[in-house]
Amino acid sequence: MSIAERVDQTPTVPPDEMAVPRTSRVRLFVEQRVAFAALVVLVALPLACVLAGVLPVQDPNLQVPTVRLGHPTTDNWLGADNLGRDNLARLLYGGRVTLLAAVQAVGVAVILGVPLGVLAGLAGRWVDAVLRTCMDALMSIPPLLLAFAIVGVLGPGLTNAMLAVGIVMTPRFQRVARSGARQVARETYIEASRAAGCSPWRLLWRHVLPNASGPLLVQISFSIGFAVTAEASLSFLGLGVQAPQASWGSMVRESFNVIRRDSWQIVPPSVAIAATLLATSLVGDGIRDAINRSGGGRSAGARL
Amino acid sequence: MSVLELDRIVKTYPAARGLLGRGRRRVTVLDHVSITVEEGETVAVVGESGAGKSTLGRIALNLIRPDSGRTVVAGQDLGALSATQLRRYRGVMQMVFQDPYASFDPMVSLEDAVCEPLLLHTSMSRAERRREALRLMERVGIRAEQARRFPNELSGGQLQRVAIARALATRPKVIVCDEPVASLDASVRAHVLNQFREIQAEDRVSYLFISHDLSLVGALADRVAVMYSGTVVEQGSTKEFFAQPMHPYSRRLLESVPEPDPTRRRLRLVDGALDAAAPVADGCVFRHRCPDAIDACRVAPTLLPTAHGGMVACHLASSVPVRAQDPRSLQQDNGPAPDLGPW
Amino acid sequence: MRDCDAAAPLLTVSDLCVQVERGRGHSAMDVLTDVSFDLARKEMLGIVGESGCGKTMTSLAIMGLLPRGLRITSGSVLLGQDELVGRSSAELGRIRGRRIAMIFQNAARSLNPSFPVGYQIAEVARRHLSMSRRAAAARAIEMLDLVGIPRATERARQYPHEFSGGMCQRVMIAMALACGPDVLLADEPTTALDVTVQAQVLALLRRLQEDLGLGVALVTHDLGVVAEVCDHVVVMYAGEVVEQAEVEALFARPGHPYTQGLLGAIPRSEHRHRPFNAIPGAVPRLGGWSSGCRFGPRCIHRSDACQRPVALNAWGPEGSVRCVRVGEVGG
Repeated sequence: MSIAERVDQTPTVPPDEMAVPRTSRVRLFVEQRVAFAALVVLVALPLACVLAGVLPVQDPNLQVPTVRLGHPTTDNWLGADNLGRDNLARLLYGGRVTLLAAVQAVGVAVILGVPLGVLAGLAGRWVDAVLRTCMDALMSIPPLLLAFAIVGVLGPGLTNAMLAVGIVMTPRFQRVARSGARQVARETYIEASRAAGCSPWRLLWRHVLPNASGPLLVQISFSIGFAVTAEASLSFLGLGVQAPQASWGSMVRESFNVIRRDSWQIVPPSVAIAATLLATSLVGDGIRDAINRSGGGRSAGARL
Repeated sequence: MSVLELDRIVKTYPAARGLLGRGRRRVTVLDHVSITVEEGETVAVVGESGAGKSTLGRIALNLIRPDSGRTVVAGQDLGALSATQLRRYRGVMQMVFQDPYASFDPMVSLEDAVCEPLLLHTSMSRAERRREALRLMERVGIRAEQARRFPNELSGGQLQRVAIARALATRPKVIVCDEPVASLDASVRAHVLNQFREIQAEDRVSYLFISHDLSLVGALADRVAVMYSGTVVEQGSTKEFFAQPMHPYSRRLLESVPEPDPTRRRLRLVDGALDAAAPVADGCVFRHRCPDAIDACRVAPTLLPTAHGGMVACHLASSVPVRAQDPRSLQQDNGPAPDLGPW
Repeated sequence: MRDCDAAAPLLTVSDLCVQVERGRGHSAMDVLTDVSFDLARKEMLGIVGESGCGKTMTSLAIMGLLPRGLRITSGSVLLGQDELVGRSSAELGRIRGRRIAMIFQNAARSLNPSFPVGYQIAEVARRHLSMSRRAAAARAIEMLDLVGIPRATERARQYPHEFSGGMCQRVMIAMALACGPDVLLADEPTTALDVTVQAQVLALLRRLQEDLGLGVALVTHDLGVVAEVCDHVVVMYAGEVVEQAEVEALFARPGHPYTQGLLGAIPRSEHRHRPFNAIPGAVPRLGGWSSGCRFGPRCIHRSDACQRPVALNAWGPEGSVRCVRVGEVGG
């Protein structure tokens, strides 16, 4: 039987034909225009708040009696509140407070939730079971109620309120980190690195966490939105920001007090909160879709 | 001194538990399995799904701990090492996995992946590591610009060759190959197999080659061990095994391999619903499916030497006087010897 | 060589082309190009090739089950005298299962885990043959018996997870044949099975083909399987048919360099002392096919004539080969 001649091992195909450029997840994200636009907003808004001191914005605490409860004019783009303070300025300076608070809350949740989640995902059944029970217990309490309780113990103030919100959000992060860690731990490349002699710490740091980070990023973006809303709610109820500090939540409360006299006042802070929430959700969706599309790093191309 | 010795390995797993975890039944995945690999040798472990071959491969590397039995690699009993000592000893034994895409971290470049074992086991500087990694990859035919890429950018055959390079980084004495070409296209398998051969010739590495593909094993391995349901049923040199398989399961296995020659159709197309073997509580593991089973098979046979240097665990095989010069006596007792094609 | 029926073929595929859309600004990509073959009664046709060659896509295209984004752009599929291309999904739904059926690689995953197997088989019979519940149940048991499942009445009430891989594949075959189709497409039905179980399932397919007069198209990458059970062979590479022949002719005198390469790559006893034979390079991915001969970049006999697209020419007693240098090389 005649068979093909012996062939040498050097491929005669030029290398470019065989290698497929990797579609990075960043690229996949950017290609989703809505999510990208949302990200732009999500970056622009805090940037504006942070740079408020440099931008040509009025003094948020300056009370100008003549324009009390004024509607948008060329001087006051978003009008003025009941004490004559410029709404745009208050929105931007207040935004600093709100957004920083949201980052604090999410930070607390990540610092508490992720290590506990990774521990639950990688340690034995008992540890996992105990942690799950604790987290379930935390989650079964209505979030704001839990926040009240913590604030009640620690005292009012924005930092305490955000600590409370962070604790409330911890179970979700724990869950996401746990399932991510568990899934990655079962992958063959973890076994391969173990076989090569990797220590558990190196495995965790170099291999498990980077690969489990996708869902965590999604969770972070959703949680920022939640934290903003939570801050607004708590400040609205007087448990968060204390006067004279302003935040979006306190602005909502103040405009709520005068809503009978002027219904415009509530619009700027509400729109700001809603826009942030929408933007974070869209960004989260975008990250999740980009991760799903990249197929978790497997070889692309249709199976024929 | 053998480079790998698996001595009476036993491994069980808890079966699905009944309500309240009362059912303490355990499933035996490996039942007193012993296999030895000498220096520079390739020993193939063949069997079908459920035989326990992959578990055995992982026990050889101590990725899974056996319930009892010893694993001795290059003279060192792995069970006697502490966790840290074991980690440091891992340079001596390495593994190549079945699915190359799954065995690489998708977020790590190939160069870094091959550097990792060097980082863990040598005191090379970063630059030295990278040079060595590139040299290793060049040896398996992967050029420098490909080395910078990520796993999903290479073809299966190329990636498996990088896996070999990674396994060689620490100059191991033994490499466990778990079905390394099963997921590759037929036209590229040869590249990888030739690579294995070359490396063995140059470095005197030993292989524990796990495979279900008998034609491959016939061309590659020096010795063969056949496993069924957690037990080694036959062992021997490849030539002897293919010339004269002693165990009924080995014969059945060889008969079932489709032969690429349409003029010699030899699949005994006897349609018997003989799969779905239930786990056997006692006696020979194969007795429910064995066409030649006798009463004596209720007692598990032990692995006994045969006349031509192999070992077989079968009452029938060892009770028949085996004459190496007279294969026909075997035929009369056990039915016509199957036609085994070009082997 | 078995006696295939010389009457009109059961299935005729002619110049089938399938493309995948790629969104705005990109032209559609070829997935299958001019695929043609026939399937006669009592014939086992082997469709062989490696990953990415289009063999699975071919069966999906015939069945009208192409995934989203892929469509048949030209060509015809004749089931008996009836054209399948261009039919509505409702019409295809009536034909699938009734006159042409398909079985897949991973049988355990192709069965619904929530229903007993007898129910699933009966469901097919009820849908196409409008049988009563009782008649359909009886039919299901009859089919399970036909495919060699012992104690069929009892096992019809069991769920897929209670069957082993090989048994699941038999159940799939039973389900596929429940309405007595003329044509069975088998997409790598034994690839995921152990070799001893594979032998049994292949034996079963052969027996059923004899007894029921089926035409079976067996998609596989294993040339050993092709040699054991197939009558005719179609070799595919990069979306094209590169060679067609009767099985003995193919193995004795392969015409196309790719076929020669595939046959050469099979491990044999002589490889104990020689390096294994490989085909240089790797299977090109979708979209990376060259415009001339698609095997050209990997072919050791490549010449200038191979830069242009190559047509299928007659070769050997009843075969055809897509190679301009056939006859000069190997053979």
